[in-house]
Amino acid sequence: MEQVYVTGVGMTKFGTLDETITELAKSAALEAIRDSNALDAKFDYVLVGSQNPDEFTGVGHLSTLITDHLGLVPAGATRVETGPSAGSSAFEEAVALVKSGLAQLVLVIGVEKMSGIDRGAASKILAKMISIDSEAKLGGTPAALAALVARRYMHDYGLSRDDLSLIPVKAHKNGAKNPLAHFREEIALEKVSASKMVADPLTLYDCSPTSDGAASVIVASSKAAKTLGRTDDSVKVLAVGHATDYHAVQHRPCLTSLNATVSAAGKAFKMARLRPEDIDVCELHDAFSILELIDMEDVGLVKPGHAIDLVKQGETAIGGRIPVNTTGGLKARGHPTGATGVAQIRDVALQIRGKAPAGLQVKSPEFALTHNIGGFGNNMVVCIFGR
Amino acid sequence: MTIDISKCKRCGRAVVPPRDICPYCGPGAGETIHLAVAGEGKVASYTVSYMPPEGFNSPLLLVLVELSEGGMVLCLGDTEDTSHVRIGGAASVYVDREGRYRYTPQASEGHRPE
Ligand SMILES: [Zn+2]
Repeated sequence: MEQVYVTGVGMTKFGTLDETITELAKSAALEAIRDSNALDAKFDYVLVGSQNPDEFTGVGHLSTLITDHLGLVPAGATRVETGPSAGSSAFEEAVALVKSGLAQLVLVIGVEKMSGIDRGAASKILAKMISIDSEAKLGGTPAALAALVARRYMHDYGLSRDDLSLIPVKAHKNGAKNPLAHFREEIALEKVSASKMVADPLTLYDCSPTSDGAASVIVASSKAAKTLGRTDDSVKVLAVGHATDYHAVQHRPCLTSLNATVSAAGKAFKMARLRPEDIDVCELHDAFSILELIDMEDVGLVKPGHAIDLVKQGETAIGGRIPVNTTGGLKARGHPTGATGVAQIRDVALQIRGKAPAGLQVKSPEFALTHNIGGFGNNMVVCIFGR
Repeated sequence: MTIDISKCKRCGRAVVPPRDICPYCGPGAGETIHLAVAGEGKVASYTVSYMPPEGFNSPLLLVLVELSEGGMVLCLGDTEDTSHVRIGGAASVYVDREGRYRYTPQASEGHRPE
C-alpha cells in the first residue's frame, strides 16, 4: 500500500493568546506549508481537528472558513471531532485519504481557542465528553474521574503521592526548554504535592491547563513528497490505531488500565510490524499526571504497576531509554484540546528529523509514537512514525 | 430500597442503569433481562472533589460502588463525614428523589477507621 509521509510541520505558541481561532489555525498551517515547500502546491483536502469551536468561540463552519482564508479553495474541507483526540483523528483521516488514493496532498490543522470564555463555561463544555447520565448528573468532572482512577491505582500498586508528583515535575522541566510551551518554568516536587486539591488525591499541578493554540502537519503521498522535493526530510507514517472504551468509567472492567489505549496501540504496532521496545521517543496524553503512568503501561512500554520505576530511574527523561513527553506533555506544553494530537505528531516529527528544541533532542530516534485521548480515557488514537 | 439493573443473557454481566443492548456483547446477544436488586456492594474507589461544576457544593464526595451482582455505579456520598470511606469497604446504593444514585456505608461497616 501507498507509503504516506509527513512532509512539513507547524505550530503556534500554546497558552492564553490574543489571536482568534482563525488566526491561530492560519499561522500554524502557513508554517507547515512553508516547511513542506508547498506554497504553490495544490491541496486536495484541508482537515481540521477541533473539539468544539462553535461553543468555545462562536465560530462555526471552521474547515470551510480556514480553507478560504488560506487561499486553498477548491480543496475539500472537513472538520473532524472526537473530543480532545480530534487532531489525531483529523490526521488519521488524512492518512486514509492518501493511502486510498483519494488524495495526494492534505493539510491537517488541529486548533482550539479556549480562553475567550470564562473558566466555568469552558469546564461545562469540556464536561460534555463524560457521561451525562452516570457522571455529570452527579457533579462528576474529568478531574474527579481521574481521581477515582488515581486512588485505585495508588491502592493497588502502592504508588505514593510524591511518586506521582514526579510526572508534573518532569513535564515542567521539559516545558521550560520548549519555546512554544504554555508553562516554561520548572516546579518543585513539594509544590505539586502541596498545591490546591482539585479532586483528592489530585492537585492543581496534576491537571493539564486549558490553552489556546494550533498545530499543523502536511500529509503527502510518496509522489507528492517527491514533487515537493521533500523526500529526504520527510517522516514516514508507519501506523495509525484508533479505539474506544465504554463511555462511563463505571462500565469499564478495570480502573487502572484504559482498554482503548491497549486496543489502539495493539492495532498500531501490528500495522507498523513493531513492538513497544522498538519505540525511541513518545508523546503520551497526560491530561492528568496519573494517565502518563497508565498510558506507558497500556502502550506496552512497561508491565502494569511498574511505570513509576522507569520514571524514578530517569528512563523517561530526555537522556533515558524511552523519553516520554519530551516537549512538556499536555501539562506544560499546554492543552488546546483539538490541537494537542497534531502538536504531538509535529513534536515527534521534529525529533525524528533531529530538529527538536535545544536540550530536548533525543539521540537519533528511529521510531516514535504518539497517543492522544478523546474523552475521559476514551476514543484513543495511537500513531507510529519512522525515518 | 432497590435499584434497577440489566443482565446479559449471553455474558451474564450486570449494567447500571439498565440497558437493552449489552454493551459488552452487542446486539447479537439479544435483549437483556431487567431486574431490581438490593444495591449492596463494596467501594471500588472514591474521591472528594473540591472543584465541582456550577450548581454543586464543594466538597463533593463521589463513590464508585461495585455491586454484589456485578457491575459498578458512581454514587453521590454524604460529605459531612468522609473518614469512613475506603476501598473495599461495604456500601449500599439507593436512588434519591432526583433520580441520582446515592452511597451510604452499611451499618456494620460504618465509621470503621481507615
Ligand atoms: Zn453481554
